[in-house]
Amino acid sequence: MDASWKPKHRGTLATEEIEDDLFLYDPDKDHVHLLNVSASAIFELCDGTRTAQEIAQEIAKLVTPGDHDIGKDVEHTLGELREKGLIK
Amino acid sequence: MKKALLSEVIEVQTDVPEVGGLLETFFQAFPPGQGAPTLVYTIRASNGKLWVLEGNGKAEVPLFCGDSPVEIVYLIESFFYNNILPSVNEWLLLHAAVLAKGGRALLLLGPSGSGKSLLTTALLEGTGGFSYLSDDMAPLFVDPGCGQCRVAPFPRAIRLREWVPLPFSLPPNQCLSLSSQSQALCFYFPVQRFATAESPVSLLLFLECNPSRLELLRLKKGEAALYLTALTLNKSGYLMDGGLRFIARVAQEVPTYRLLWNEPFRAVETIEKLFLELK
Repeated sequence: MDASWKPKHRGTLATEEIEDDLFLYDPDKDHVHLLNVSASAIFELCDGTRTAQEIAQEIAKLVTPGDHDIGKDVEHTLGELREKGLIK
Repeated sequence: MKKALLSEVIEVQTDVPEVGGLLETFFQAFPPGQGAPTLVYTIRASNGKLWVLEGNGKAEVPLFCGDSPVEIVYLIESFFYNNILPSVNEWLLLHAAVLAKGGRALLLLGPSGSGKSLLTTALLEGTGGFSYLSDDMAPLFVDPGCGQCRVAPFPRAIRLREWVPLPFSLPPNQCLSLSSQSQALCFYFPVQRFATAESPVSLLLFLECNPSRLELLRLKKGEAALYLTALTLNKSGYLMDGGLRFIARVAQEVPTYRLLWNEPFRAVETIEKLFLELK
């Protein structure tokens, strides 16, 4: 993943919160998506101003420190969001 | 014939008496259209075929033709359902059958072949005392007065594929058959059970035929929203115009289940029991 990439979600998406999940509709592809609480938090930070590393730093402030590698988790989620066309 | 189909007032004119009678039968439970029609069609006989033309008088456009009165009425009814109504954006239109009892509605949702019509008929023929709102399309809306999610009647004939053997008999005087090279359908008009009132939505059941088991699974609210969107008939425009919010609301407010079923009578028992428990 390009370290200088600042992911940004696409403006044409419609979104609604359902409990902790984020429910999205992509009119261009006519697809709906459901993001869990972690993916939603990462998605919300994709406003084009932060790199993946900076997003991981923000997420680290929200979670209890543990064994998992937040940087890798964020990279993985960003890859999935990009693959689904939800961020660019 | 002039009828109100959701927000459209549709008028169909014909000089073929048998077609006129069948139009009255097929649309018997829809309310009469008030005021000027929004869409006008004409059915005429020509060269051994029956033609549907858009418009009346001078500017008529031929749309399609059929071989028999039953076929042409079935085709024009399907045309309204597939081409006109999905562009309506005041309602959330779900691919669902709807039954009601005690002032509460139950929606059976699923794609074609999931058993909506069969289980709807079985529930109507059973002792549960359900009334009939729709077989194939459920128009949902928010009542501006009380804020409830409600469903309006859309009382099409129940269409059953004739190659599916029914485990019960239907009154022959309430059925019509259509057989052509491509399909064999039975249209059932449950005349004693037509509901005319809207009802609050109190249970959503997503149907799946499963050859090996009967199982009822509660869906999480997010999953329910995904299932609902997949079975929304008027996605185009509607979801970006506040529809996504309404779907999210329905998913959060109405208990939602998946029903895997393999035998109609056991499925009906399960549905009736669940509906009663949720009262």
